[in-house]
Amino acid sequence: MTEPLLEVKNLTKIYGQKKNLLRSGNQVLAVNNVSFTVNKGETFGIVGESGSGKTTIGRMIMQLVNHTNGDILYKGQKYSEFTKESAERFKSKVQIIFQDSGSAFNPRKTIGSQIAYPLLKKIKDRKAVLDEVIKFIEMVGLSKEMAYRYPHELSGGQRQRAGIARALILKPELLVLDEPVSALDVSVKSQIINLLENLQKKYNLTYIFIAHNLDLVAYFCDRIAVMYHGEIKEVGSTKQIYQFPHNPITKKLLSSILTLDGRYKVSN
Amino acid sequence: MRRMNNGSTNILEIENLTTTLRIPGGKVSVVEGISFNVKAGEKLVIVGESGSGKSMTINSILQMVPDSLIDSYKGIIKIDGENILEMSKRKFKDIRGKKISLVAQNAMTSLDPSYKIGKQVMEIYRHNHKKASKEEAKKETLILLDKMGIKNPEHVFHSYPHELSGGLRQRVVIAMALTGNPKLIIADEPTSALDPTLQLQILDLLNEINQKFGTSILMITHDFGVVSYFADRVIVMYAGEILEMGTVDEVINYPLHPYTKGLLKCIPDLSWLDKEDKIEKRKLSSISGEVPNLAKKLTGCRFAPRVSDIPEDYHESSPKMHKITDTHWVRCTCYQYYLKDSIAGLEGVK
Repeated sequence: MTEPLLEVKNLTKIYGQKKNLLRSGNQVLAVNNVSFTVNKGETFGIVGESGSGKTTIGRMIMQLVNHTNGDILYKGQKYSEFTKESAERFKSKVQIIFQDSGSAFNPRKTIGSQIAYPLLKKIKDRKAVLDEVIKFIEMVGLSKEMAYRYPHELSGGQRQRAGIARALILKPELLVLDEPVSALDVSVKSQIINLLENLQKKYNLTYIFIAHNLDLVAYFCDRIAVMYHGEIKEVGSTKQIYQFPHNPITKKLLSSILTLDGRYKVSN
Repeated sequence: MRRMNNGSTNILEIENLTTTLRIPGGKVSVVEGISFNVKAGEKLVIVGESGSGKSMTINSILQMVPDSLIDSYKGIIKIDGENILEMSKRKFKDIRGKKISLVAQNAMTSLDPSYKIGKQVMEIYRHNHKKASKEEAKKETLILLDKMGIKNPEHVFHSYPHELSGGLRQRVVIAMALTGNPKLIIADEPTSALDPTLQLQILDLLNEINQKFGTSILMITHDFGVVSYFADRVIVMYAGEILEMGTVDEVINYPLHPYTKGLLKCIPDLSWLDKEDKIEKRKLSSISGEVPNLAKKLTGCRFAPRVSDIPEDYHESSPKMHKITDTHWVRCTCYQYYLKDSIAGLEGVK
């Protein structure tokens, strides 16, 4: 259970470029010397205010942006030492679900064809691909007619389900969930969270859950990292963080949770 | 000038409001037969999911539905005793800003990116105070920005919107809404685009405005946490109708309508974190299905298709608002199903 799947060591990201003749050299330190480990099968939460660098970490894990310094290790192998084959394998094992499902799909292609796309590279038999797509669409709770619809014909919740189907079709091990429910309605939000929980059990998935609403994080995550201005201020199990927060930032974030009985009471 | 807060007068009275829009191939009533009041000095919050008609309600109050879309308003919207639906546009212009004003969800849509903050707030100020000179307007604007808890009003005055953080921008928008010293502020999800820490600050600011100036606030949100922290009374809307209405205590602690109950159960339970031993956390429940499409003809209890555990005959064929207490109202009798084991009928609730 405690076998590390992903290790992040002294990770740093600086946006912007060095000063030269043409550039003024505006640099932003988005992520500063961050280290953490994500174990197999767990849900690791990254919380922080906007601009704290949590999304940047998710993108670096996905290799959507390159890191400036430090290392990310997937199953003990450094990203920088990936061969062509291992990079290919890695890409099918790590997937992402975006916050805004509206912009995560190509508006000109049907949902089904976009879910099928990653699979078409692996399987040549189109009938088999179609069967697989239908299977996954039904698994995330959509009807199979949805495969022939365009993204704009689906509601936000349905699109997010389709996003989950697309991410799962290559049978990944690690899913980066970048605020997957913050754009959704209350009742749909819990539908998606429950779906993600069930899928985690079924496929033994590991989640990295990036969010800013702490009540959901408390419910969903096993361990939590609290970020502030590009640095991780505190890492611990959910209970540790919520019961005995040490860092003032953590306390501030916790005390801003609004529950049904007013503000969340932070113990000192 | 400070108004006296005498608690009993209604700033806003809505009676049987139905807003009908024109859509390709027909008409659709996005708000149907809603009635409620906002008392002076009161904080009323409307909760609902997207598509529940909460935004259309305030758009109707502010007459902001585009003319090309609107088919008709039916009913009465009284602001400070005057029915605005029978008023000329010109006259309503004087009410908007001075008696009611709006704080929009996204501060960037209320601010023009190409003008400095000071100029924009001053413009609104001088619209609401026609006789004010430029110097006076500037002075008042700075005072107002300072009142909004902005630490360096002079600096903000000379900044462009994009140079400010989201929280500061929202404070500026609230300042703009207050320039006319309105009796009612309508806030359309003022905090849902903000971080939790900022959300708390903005709610505290609105609370302070409510207490200091006695301004009534009508807020829209989808977050019950905000409701319990901020509101005096709450209205639960669904598919263009009010399903439940009551004080915060009544609706959160004694919800009657299955939809309200469902919404409340969707909030993650944090109490397991305080327990020492390892107890199982309550599973997050959800409401199956989705908000209905209003373009289709809806009959009966609009929430009925989404509840499976209540037999059909518990729903009314044409649901009415039922009075439970003086403040607590609920639509449709389906809530009685859950009460059937306790004291029969309505008496059990009181």
